[in-house]
Amino acid sequence: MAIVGKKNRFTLFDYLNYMFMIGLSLSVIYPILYLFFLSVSTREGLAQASSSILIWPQGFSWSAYQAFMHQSYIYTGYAYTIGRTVIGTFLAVLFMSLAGYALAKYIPYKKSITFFFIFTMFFNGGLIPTYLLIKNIGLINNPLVYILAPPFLYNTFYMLILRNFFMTIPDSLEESAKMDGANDLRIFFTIMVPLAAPAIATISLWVAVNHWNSWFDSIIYMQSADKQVIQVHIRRLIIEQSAAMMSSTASFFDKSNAPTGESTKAAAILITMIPILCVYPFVQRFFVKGVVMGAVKG
Amino acid sequence: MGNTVLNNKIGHSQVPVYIKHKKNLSKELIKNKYLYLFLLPAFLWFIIFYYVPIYGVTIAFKDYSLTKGILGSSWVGFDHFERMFKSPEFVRVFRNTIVIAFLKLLFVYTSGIFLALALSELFHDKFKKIVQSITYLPHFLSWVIIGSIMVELLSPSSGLVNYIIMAFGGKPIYFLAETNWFIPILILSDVWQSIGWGSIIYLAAIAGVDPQMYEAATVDGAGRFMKLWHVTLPSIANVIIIMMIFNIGNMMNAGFDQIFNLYNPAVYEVADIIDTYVYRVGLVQMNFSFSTAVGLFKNAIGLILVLIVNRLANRFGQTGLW
Repeated sequence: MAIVGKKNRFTLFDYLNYMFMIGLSLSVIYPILYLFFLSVSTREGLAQASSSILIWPQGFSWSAYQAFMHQSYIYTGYAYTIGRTVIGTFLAVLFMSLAGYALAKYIPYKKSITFFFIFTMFFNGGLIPTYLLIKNIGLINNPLVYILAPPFLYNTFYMLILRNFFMTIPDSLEESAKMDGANDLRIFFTIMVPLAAPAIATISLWVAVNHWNSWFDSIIYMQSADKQVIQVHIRRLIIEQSAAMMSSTASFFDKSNAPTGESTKAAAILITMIPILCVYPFVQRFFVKGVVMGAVKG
Repeated sequence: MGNTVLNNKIGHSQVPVYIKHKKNLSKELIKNKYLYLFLLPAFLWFIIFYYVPIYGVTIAFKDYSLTKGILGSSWVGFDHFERMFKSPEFVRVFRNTIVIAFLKLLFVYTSGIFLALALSELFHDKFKKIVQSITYLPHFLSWVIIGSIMVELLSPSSGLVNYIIMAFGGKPIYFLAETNWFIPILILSDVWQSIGWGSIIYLAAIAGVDPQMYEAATVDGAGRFMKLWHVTLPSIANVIIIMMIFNIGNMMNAGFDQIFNLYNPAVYEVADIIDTYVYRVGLVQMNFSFSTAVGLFKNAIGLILVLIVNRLANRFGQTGLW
């Protein structure tokens, strides 16, 4: 504890503080760990009702995962989730960058145009008028709705963060490129996009997480279950406790070695979380950078 | 928050330039044709997906029928609003929205400040980084996932929490179906989800405090808590107040995603908020006009709050939203 050496002692407050931090961290990690224990425990193991499930799996089998993977909805669900995340993020970031760049430049009526966008942050039609619009333009049950519907293709806040980033790029770069005969389109893609890469990367991550986690649009705009995203299926299985979904999962195995309902649900939650858990450690710092970019500076 | 992002400072200083340019606007349009082309899809999209629904709000004053459409439906004036104010259900959801939003302001919003202060008192940078990484994680999970985890852990028959309660000889509690338990669970889970992420902005503010201030305080004989109270807190007071102001501006949103994934008819009495009510009345009972009226009422209050808050932020010496 060399750092502590400079006058500070490890006081009672510090012990409490460190314990609080450890407790807080455990409150995040332990539920996930517990779900994992539960998901790989066997029916016999759980039947013994021993408290050691709290710290270790009872028996070991992947059958809960197999039972869950046996469902066809998990494949369509994942396909739509991944599809909307990849395509939706790409298009959203492309269009928001273009608009953000234009707003960063000196064009006539820029103030009014910016207000036209910002106004929607503070007042909008609300749930029903938006739903009726989506219905009237034929996007109900159409997967395009995942990419097009608000707030996905354009998000005013992200657009403004991009605009701000473009504003920090010195005009001289643009001017010299113009002198060499480049037009705005060329300047944008060959000069501005590479320079704005940090901002674009951060916004991409945010949009991607929003796409991955979104479920409400899938509930209200998609009627057929085979076009719904994975989050909606998880919701139906665990939160709405749909019996039909449980029994079809359980029937995959004969009774004796079937995973328990609890194991299957735990496996379902983990399968939906795993992509986030895997990517998270690597991209976490970008997110933090983004908050500072959007908030403190902004 | 919002100084440069939302405030159009540079635009202000350019006003005279615009006036000069207005004379040959067409020339300007041609010169900037690509820039306008970049904006065109955004313009169309916002008109279709935001401004057309704003026009659609008129159905709050009509008797909307699917077959007649928005234009064809007959006007009924403020009938839906009158019905709304007389409805005990509406009074209930309005009260719940305010209560839940206020409790969140009190506990969830402050939790980020506390965590930031506590983190800044840690001695080990590595440990601090790990704690930060872990506590940010729940921010990236959807409320479907968090709700699912909670349903699993709080289940009265098989959940971990009740397992522990029973191990100590207690009776199982159906946390999510008891009105006394629901709100504490709601607040606690929201703290769990957002405490880490909410601390980032304050940590950044704390990192920006001039170290000389601490040195000066040390020379004057201030202890740790004195420094915390007299140096750190005043230095980040700006951020704290601005964040609080924006939270107040957002008060009408008590957390649809969270409540929708946790509530059930047994706790509607305390848990039903305007947003969940609008969803049920509108999209489940297909009562489009009434539901739109309720939504409009909420949005109007939200807008007024934002306007007030923006004025407060400006007066406070910070640049507001516009």
